[in-house]
Amino acid sequence: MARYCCQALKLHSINYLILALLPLVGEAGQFDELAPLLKEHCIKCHGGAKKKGGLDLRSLKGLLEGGEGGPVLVPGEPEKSRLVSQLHPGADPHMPPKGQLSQAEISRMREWVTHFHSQENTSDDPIPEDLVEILPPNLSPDQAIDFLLRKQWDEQDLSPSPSIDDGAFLRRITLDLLGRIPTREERARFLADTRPDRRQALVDDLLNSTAHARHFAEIFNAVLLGRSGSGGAKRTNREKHFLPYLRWVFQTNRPWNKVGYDFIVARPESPEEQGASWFLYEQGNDAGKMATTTASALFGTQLQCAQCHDHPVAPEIEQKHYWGLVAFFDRTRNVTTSDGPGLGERAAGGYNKFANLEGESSESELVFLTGQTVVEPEGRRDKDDLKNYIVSPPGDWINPPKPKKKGDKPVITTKVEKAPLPKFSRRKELARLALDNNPAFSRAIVNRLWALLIGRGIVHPADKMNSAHPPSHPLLLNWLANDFAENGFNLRRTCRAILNSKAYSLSTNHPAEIPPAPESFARGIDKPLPAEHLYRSILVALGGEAREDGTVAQENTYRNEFVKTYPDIFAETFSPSVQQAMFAANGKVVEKILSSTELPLAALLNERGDNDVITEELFLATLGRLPDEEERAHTVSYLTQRADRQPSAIRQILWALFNSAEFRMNH
Amino acid sequence: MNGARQNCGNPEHGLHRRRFLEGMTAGAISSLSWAGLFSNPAFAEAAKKTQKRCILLWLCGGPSQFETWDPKPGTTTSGPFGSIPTSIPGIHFSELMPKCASIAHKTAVIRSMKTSAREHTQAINLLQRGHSPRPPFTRPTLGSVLSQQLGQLDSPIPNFILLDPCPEGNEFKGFKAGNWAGWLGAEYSPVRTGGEFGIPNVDKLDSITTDDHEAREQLRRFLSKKFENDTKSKAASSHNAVYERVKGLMSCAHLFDLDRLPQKDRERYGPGAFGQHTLLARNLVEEGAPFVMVANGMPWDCHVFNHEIYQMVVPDLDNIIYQLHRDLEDRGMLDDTLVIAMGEFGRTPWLNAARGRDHYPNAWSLSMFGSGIAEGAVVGATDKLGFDVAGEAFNEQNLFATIFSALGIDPHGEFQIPTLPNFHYVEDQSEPIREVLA
Repeated sequence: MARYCCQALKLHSINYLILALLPLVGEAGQFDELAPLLKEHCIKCHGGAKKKGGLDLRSLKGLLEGGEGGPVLVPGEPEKSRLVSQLHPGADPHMPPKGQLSQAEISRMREWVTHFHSQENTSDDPIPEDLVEILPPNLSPDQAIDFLLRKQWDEQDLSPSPSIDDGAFLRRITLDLLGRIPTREERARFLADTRPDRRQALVDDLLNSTAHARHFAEIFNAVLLGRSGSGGAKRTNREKHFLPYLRWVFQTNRPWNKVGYDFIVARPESPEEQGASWFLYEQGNDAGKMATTTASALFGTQLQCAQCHDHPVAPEIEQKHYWGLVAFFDRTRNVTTSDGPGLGERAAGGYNKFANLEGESSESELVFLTGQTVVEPEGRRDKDDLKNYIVSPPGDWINPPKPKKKGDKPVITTKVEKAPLPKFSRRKELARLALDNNPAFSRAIVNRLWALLIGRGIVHPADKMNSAHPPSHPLLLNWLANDFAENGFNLRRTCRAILNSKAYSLSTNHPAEIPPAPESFARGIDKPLPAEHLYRSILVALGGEAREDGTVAQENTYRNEFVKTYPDIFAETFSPSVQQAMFAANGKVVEKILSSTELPLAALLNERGDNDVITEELFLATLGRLPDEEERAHTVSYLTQRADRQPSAIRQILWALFNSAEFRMNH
Repeated sequence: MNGARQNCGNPEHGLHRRRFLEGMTAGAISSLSWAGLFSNPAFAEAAKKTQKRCILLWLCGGPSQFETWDPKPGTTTSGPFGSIPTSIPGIHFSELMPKCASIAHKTAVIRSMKTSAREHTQAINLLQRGHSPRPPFTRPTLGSVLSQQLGQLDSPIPNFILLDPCPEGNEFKGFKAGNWAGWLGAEYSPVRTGGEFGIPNVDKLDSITTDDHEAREQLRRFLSKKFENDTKSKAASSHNAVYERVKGLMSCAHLFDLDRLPQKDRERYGPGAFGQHTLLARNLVEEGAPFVMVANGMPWDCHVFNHEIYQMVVPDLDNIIYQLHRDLEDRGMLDDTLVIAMGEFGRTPWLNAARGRDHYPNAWSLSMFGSGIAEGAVVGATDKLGFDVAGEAFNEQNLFATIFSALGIDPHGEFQIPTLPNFHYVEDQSEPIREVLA
């Protein structure tokens, strides 16, 4: 198997370091406080990829164990601890070999060791077993979220930003749930609603709508499998199989554990479930891709690097886990059934050997990320036999024809009535281990929903859930995951809880001079609009007709141009490009949309004589608010100076609004 | 357009600290003896005063060494063309390269390249990235690394420009559609232009007057800045910063316009696209572009009628290199500008049935001059018939180490990307080709 990246890791390393300021280490001596320093300076050599001197500094356990040369940490005695003593300039041996930690960093390390008491701190899990002890009784889910956030704000002496008004709330939630800004009518209707529970009612209406199911299907299509590219078979097949399945999932609020089962086991029992098979089918018989896609989509974690070595910074992800997950998929074969793409499974084979960086070879086992293993009932099976099947495969699966060229895989029949299924199915075993009783499965999806709606995961980034990315609010994450699993893996329940929480309605604008960090969730977080949101919002602002099914009547292939230009969907960081800005600023696509006669706004406004009224209408249509005095003055004067060419002037103002940061963000 | 060093119109242009210097500061901590050069404060100070640039004349398809820099006159592998003496006593080039022969004492030639990739896709990747592939990682191309190392943080001129008018080009076409910047990220991908390939959306739309275009941008800026200030939003701040860069790039759009270059210059470089784009590249580096790659599909891949085709293309290249050298010399830019003319491999010593030469990575040549390069260096040799390198051979890693060294970049410096294993600009401590360094 490919071991290319291992060669790279064997190379001599020159660890010159750019020293960054790190937060002060507190007094408690928690490992979490030391971890960033170790991660930055030590872990490339004393981590998962390399364990020089037998030392693994990725966890407290490894730190306490020390290396081949004995302990590196003597609690309370920094100068007796090699962890500290070897950092000083002139120390021999000196760490890191090619760099020098700053005095401030060494002090922090020393401080930590001084305050470290091995007895108190060996627990890696600060989360109490039973959350009930912390939470007051009878809290609704949204209240529980707010309680747990508030608890942490109090501890950190933070106060949250104020709540947004109804207009801003409507824009925020419509973008999040329908993928576009609200229409004028929706705005008028919501602002006229005087019921005290109008926001909760809106949350329910939107969550139950067809438009929302379509929108979440579109988002999850890209989040789970990545962008499909703008053309070709992949896109067509996603539209034919995967998207209808996802729409059905969100429309019927299918329990997420069943969705996981549909993906992994892929034995559809109804026509609606059929499209789920595309999840594995798209990986083209590549067990490695099936493993990494599953790890990323269902468990929010990246396994690729564990192909060649244990995870460099997350000790719980070992090389055997990658190969274990591969083994679960290694008997899978794409087939075409009478119902469409299907996933067959063989009853034999699928054994791999893998080697670590030192060249030590191991046999892969059926081991899941949690460490649980599966033993095949009748031992290793290399030879296929019809008696081992529930749904029999074509004859050539049992006795494959000789390949044309040596080393090629034999060509076997893939057109079948029903996907072959062995009595012992590795994928079924995987589903048994991985879903219902695996808290990581629930944590991954609730974290993802949180990231989609709040703008940042409790574990950030949401697709790198491992011990190197600890949750900012561990209690909250666990509570959400428990609540989700206990209530039937209910996506809508969790969405509703988040959307009804006070946290969801916090303004992005915090009164403090230095606003609290985004990961505190003590203020709203700007969410740049993904391509589809941006495109549809422009259409809606220009008077496009938002249909109940979630599309906008005037949508056309320009949507693909937007997707091509803005491929990111909930990126780790917002990094807009010059190409994107030029597309929006100078591009023909945006120009054509602005001058389209199918979109009525500009024409309607041309009939209004009064520049004041036009200005107000423009701001309401695009930003969902009235201009303030300064904005009004600038815009009115822009119109007045161009009284001879009012239609162009209106389009130019719309251009300025669409290209403004306020329109570009869900805030 | 008559000033020799016309500014882009952005007053900040040229004032920014170079990323190059950040790279040097980091390199200075390295204790490797060879890299000690870069920790020398005097050197760092000197480097601060100049911006290094690089032009890559990418002879895609693989030019024949026999018809260019390493002729074998009078032998069975020679082909019909003879050789001519150069300005360096005892050194001969192909008779198709009289102009380069006349400036041989100012340029350098390496005749002992020996690489491993025999097919275009693999060889293009090898010579563009300087290393064989290691999936799942994608190493950035030379241009991406240099644009990061030499480029200005927020230059109005793109830091990596690819001039290539050819929409086709067999395997090179596939390469162009791929991932240039690798682990550095898309911002270090080339901005492609040339021929029909303009920079998308860089020009103001025709449907709006200049005045209105500027006025609406002012209104946008006002609204957008106000939002940024009111909300203290970092995302809004990034958004607005990008629009400032758009303004910069639009102000530079004229630099990409061949029609604005003096007719006399255009005639000197010859009518072909490669020559015209080399002239454009000269102009762009003069205006501050750190890396420009000139290409034109894959014209050097002559599996048929080698001699007939080379009779046309080599004299053209000969003139282009000569003109470029002359212009850079006239402008005093040779000290800061590195020029490399190379393909992805050479051609076979023997002819195939179609009187073409096939791919040959075992022994091939390339030429360099300018920044950091020894004038008149002729490094390495091949055996009598050109079948193999005689003496020490150099591979893509040696070549890349040479290029980085010539531009004042520590070739063994490490990519500062926290999530990656330790990758270096050049791996394995590969040595530069010292004889070619000034």
